[in-house]
Amino acid sequence: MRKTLFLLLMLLSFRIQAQQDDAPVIGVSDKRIEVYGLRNARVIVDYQTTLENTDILISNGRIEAIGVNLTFPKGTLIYDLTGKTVYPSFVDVYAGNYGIKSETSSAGINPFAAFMNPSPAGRFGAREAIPEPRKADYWNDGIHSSYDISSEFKPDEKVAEEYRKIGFGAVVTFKADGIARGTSALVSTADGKANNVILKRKASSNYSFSRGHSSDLYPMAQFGFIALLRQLNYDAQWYKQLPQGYFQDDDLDAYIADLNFPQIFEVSNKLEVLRADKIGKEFGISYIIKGGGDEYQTINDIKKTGDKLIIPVNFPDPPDVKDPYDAASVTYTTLKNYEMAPANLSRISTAGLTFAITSSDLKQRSSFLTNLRKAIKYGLSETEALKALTYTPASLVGSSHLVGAIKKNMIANLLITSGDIFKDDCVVYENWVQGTPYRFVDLRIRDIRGTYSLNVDSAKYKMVLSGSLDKPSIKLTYDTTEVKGAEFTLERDLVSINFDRSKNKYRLSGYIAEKSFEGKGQLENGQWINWKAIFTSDTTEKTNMHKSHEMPVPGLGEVIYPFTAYGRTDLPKQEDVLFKNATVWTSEKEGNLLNTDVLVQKGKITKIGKNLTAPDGVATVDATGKHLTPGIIDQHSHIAMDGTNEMGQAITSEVRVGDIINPEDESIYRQLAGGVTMSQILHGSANPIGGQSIIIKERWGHNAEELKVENQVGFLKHALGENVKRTSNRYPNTRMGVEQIIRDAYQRAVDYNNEWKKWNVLKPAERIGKVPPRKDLELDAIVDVLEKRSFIECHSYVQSEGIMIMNLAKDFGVKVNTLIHCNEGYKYADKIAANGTSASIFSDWWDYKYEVYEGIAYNAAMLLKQGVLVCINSDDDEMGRRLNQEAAKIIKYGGISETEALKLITINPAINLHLGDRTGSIKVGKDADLVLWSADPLSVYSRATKTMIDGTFYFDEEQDAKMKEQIDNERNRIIANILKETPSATPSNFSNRIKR
Amino acid sequence: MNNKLYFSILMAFAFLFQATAQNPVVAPAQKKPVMLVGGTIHTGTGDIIENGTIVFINGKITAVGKSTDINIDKSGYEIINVTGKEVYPGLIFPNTSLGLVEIGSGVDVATDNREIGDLNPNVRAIAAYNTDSQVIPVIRSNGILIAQIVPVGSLLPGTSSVVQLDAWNWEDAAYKIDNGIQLVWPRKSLARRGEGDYSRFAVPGSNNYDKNVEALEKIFTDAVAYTAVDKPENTNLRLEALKGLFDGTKTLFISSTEPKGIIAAISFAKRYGVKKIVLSDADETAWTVKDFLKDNNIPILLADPLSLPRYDYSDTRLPFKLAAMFHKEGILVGLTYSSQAYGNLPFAAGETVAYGLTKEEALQTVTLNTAKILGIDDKTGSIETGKDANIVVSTGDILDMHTNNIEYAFIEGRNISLDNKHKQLYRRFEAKYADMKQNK
Repeated sequence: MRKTLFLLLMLLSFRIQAQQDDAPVIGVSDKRIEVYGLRNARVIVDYQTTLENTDILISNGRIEAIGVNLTFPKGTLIYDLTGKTVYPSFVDVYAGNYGIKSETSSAGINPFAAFMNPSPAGRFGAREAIPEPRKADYWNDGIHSSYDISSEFKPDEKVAEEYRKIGFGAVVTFKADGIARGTSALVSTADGKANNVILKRKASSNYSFSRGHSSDLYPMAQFGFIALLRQLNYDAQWYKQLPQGYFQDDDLDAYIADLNFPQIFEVSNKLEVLRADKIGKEFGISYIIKGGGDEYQTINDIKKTGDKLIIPVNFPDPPDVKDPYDAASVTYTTLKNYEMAPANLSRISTAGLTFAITSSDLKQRSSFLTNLRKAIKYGLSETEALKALTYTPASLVGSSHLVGAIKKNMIANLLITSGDIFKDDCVVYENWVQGTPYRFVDLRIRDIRGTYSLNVDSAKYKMVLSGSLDKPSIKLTYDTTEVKGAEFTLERDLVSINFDRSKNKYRLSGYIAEKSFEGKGQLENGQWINWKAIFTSDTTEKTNMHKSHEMPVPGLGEVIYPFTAYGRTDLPKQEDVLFKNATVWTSEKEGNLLNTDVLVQKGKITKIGKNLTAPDGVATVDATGKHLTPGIIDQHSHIAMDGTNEMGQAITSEVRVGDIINPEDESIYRQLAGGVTMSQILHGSANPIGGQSIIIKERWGHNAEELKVENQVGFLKHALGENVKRTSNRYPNTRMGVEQIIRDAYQRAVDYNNEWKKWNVLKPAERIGKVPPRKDLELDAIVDVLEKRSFIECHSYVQSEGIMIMNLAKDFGVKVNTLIHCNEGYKYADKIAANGTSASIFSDWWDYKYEVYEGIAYNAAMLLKQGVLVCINSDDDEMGRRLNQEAAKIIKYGGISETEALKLITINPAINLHLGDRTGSIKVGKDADLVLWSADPLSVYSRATKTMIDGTFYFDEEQDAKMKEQIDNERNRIIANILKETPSATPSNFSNRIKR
Repeated sequence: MNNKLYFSILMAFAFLFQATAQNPVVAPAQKKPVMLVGGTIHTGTGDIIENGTIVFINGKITAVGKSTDINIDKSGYEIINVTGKEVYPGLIFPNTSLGLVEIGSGVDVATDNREIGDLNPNVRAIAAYNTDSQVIPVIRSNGILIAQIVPVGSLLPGTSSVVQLDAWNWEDAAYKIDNGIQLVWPRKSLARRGEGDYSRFAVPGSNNYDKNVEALEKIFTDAVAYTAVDKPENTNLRLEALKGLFDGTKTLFISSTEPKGIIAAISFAKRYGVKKIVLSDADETAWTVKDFLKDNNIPILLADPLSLPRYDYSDTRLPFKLAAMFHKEGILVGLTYSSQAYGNLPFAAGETVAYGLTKEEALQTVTLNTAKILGIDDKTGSIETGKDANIVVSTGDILDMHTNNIEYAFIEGRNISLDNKHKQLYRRFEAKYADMKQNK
């Protein structure tokens, strides 16, 4: 039975291909007619135009003519498509790895594994750089710009079939490996030879934030990727200026040449959309961005980029919430996104952005149409959907003259359907690719679904056929009892029915006659019988397989900023406020002022005094019994960053924390709840020279750029000791090596700077024929330090290394701005003070590793006594919320005054970060970065009740409680909806049974 | 090498060590009766006695009350005037690696709290407890006088003991030896869909929950059977170690941070007839099963209140609030603190006061409640007649880092040294600066 069916399907899909071939004929040629006429269809010419009762003539794989009552030439193979709809086949511009076999990246590649076990092939895998012969490629293996997929592409019948089944006639394939991935090709989804299938070489250049199979360790983190892309662009600029015969780089050649093609950048979420946009625009490149499907969460920012987008329809699976205890571990973001993700395309469309839809990222490609239809139900218009599947993708790769519409001379890629393809019950009969029909459902198939009276050997049954058009299912009833296990098979005009009843096996075979079936059957004993099924009525159960799962679109919640718990629908506004009758901790020489008022206007502190009256329109906050302090400044934090270390190299000064600020890190909000208003976000301490830090204010709800403090100077992270030397497969492994590698980097920067200075004074004529210096971002960052645009933040623990780095800096004419941690600072506080260096330290942390075994809680007090500017920092998401308490400990450990203690976390870090004239104290003219405390801020019993940044309240205890209530309600609402969608509760497999 | 040379080298080394930090001398046993007079006594039972007096003799408290009510002939007593100062029971630090881990990370050889294997109930913390750890005097100086030292790991990491923090060796330090068995209930939900933070680390199919539970069931079943035999032919140290759970001489300290894991683990323990059960490392997941805990009368050791909420939707300050929340439910709460080295346990308790507990209730979470949970409340945890004289005197509120300043600490009536490595290094380098100033 199965075998015959298979043969029949083979017959159905057998086809002669309308493909060119330049190879010699082997044996006897078999060239067939390649002219097809499609008669009387409803033709969707393009996303804007529909023609009724229209004919299409196809010849040699192209559309020859389209119109009403066309005269087809003799010998045309004619298809009557009355009642059918013809669409242009879809175009997918993001078909990663289609038709290539070589190793490509997968999401599971873990750079840390690579770090621990470096590949011997990697140029930076060795303990030390060993010069070895290298081909003329780019210095970093993540850059494969010279790769051209047409050198490797071969049509893959299996995958092509998958694409065709979901409506695609052409796709852009590229190799999804590495950061710069080379060029793609537009190919049809036809089978055959690549010669025929490749429609356009170099359809795009592709990029990503993914290291893929790079054999180099560097880069490992996103800010490393961005730094590398930046360097790549500068290298390209340099390379273009080189005199001939000086240096050959195949990848740079290709990179430069291929900038003329569409530049497509793959990212995984909405924050990365903005990052890719930013790095592109630094060099005048507008990337087309392949997003992750969550763009709706920050649609306004994305709209501002104006970038064209490629968007997947891989909606998240429903979170597991069947068990209330298990549901507790499902995050708020997960729930909100689960509910709203299907509306992503609709929101992108409403924002007026240009976008293409891709089938990429789906777990199963076959779910594409289902998900697409879901997006339509969630508000995407059919016209926009069709545009995003045809015209837009085609035009993104400059191929709208080839694919994406049914017009004369275009490639004959078309879909024959039963009707509106965006409706659940639509049947896709055939996908024609390059003029070749690929059949899924026989066009001539009849709709036999309905109710029949079945007479078999004088017994009467009721037979109901329902389900899908081509494979209806049977329900057989005798008297009122269902006959279980009945089977129905439809093979074009032939039917067979098998069932068992009263110990008899019935095997019936027959044919369709008008609306009825009839034929012969045989019983087990060999006796032949007659049977007939007479159509009685249409069935109401004519359901599509998708329909049973169809749920009404739930009322969606609102987008919140950031898209996580405690995000808000509307951002808080700047207010003019008068704080009345507070104990004001000025962190200035005035000390603490009792029963004092502070006026805030337009984000600044405008008046401090007693019995101030609120000007018109200024709200009053009664601060009686409360304490008002400057906002707390965390000198050393790692909140709000995606990635902490770029560990791929020992010196990574080119890396910028500002490139990867994550404004959605809930730690921002939690810091606000602890009175923190500003934090320096530092690179981690894995490298002797890490990266450039960025100072943010905790403006919760704003985007990454808006968090950054305006007009800040630069800071460059350095690190010494255990963290940088403990990686056994990387230089350095000792404090001796640490000193040398930093000294070497600084020396290289000095030489590099001199080289540039010499070059810069040359007149244009003098430069001719000379090799310009190569812009090196790693050294640029150190030159910034040498020229005092940027300042040294140095992670250090023990005395020896602290003295070392101060001396080293002095040798290069600069000073260390901050010794971070500095747990042994008390041992050489005199030297730190004399050097004018600050210490940014923990209050009482020690003993967490060997190099802090002599760290003591009296450190801060001792440093202060010797005249060092001391900051108490957190370096920790949790402790950042309690810096007031950490500062209070210095009263306990060393006996400093209360006002001095508060300065450790307010004015001192402000001065240390070169922002002492703008924030860090309560002084007229300064930023209104303020915290209102329930009690003495240095007491463990005190709580931050309100936190203000630039005159805007970003945290309010009462509001916080209300938000929590809203969050709980919203969670319950979404979970209830999920439970409605998936009513069948599967028993929990959390076992607690006794065995044996 | 001749003996003489060897000796001089030894002496040189000894001198070197002398020059750096050195733990103070252990206080000798109480000889003279002591009378602490005039302080504000926070008894640990919830009461405050203004201008109170405590009398202790041979390490035991013999009288507590208002100074005016205590009429004892003062001759032969050492009178310590603590007028204007705050007097507390010595704080108790449960669930810690104190004395087992000398250096937090990076120095494997300084770590003695994690044995190889999953079923090590027989491994005893007390056997590795280092009384000369330089960490001990540091945290002692903040008022912590008693600690429960615990092995860590998975499933059954070992047996804990309670120690007092001023002793020459672990035998002397032992306050309640082998008081508890640690049970780390296996995690179930590593790979649950939608679970934001965990899915990243989840390896599908790698969850051995059932296998681990079966291993626990097997060893407990065997232990129950083993206990029934008077003199087993083959002594099994692992089963031997579990015996105390069934007669109530040992407490089972269960660690689980999954709601269903907590229920499963406690049900498991009850099924095998474990007499005393405590939920340790409790966090907000325990709050979701609070009714179960209440119904089964399970006390909890709350995980460090100074930690972040577990989920994005959690109350912003939930870890600060949990102690009060559980307390109001009538659940007995003791507090822990994550690091053994920082001495911040009193401040973790202080943190709960701004979020619902009274100061005296907060004090109990690090004194009497914990004593009950560890099974040492007959000896300590409060300032009451008959109990050990484990007493701390602070010039200000002990729970607030702003005012915490310990002036005296007594363990079993012994007036212990409050010097420590930090203070020694402080003095050493203050001397450097004083010398520099003089030479200027």
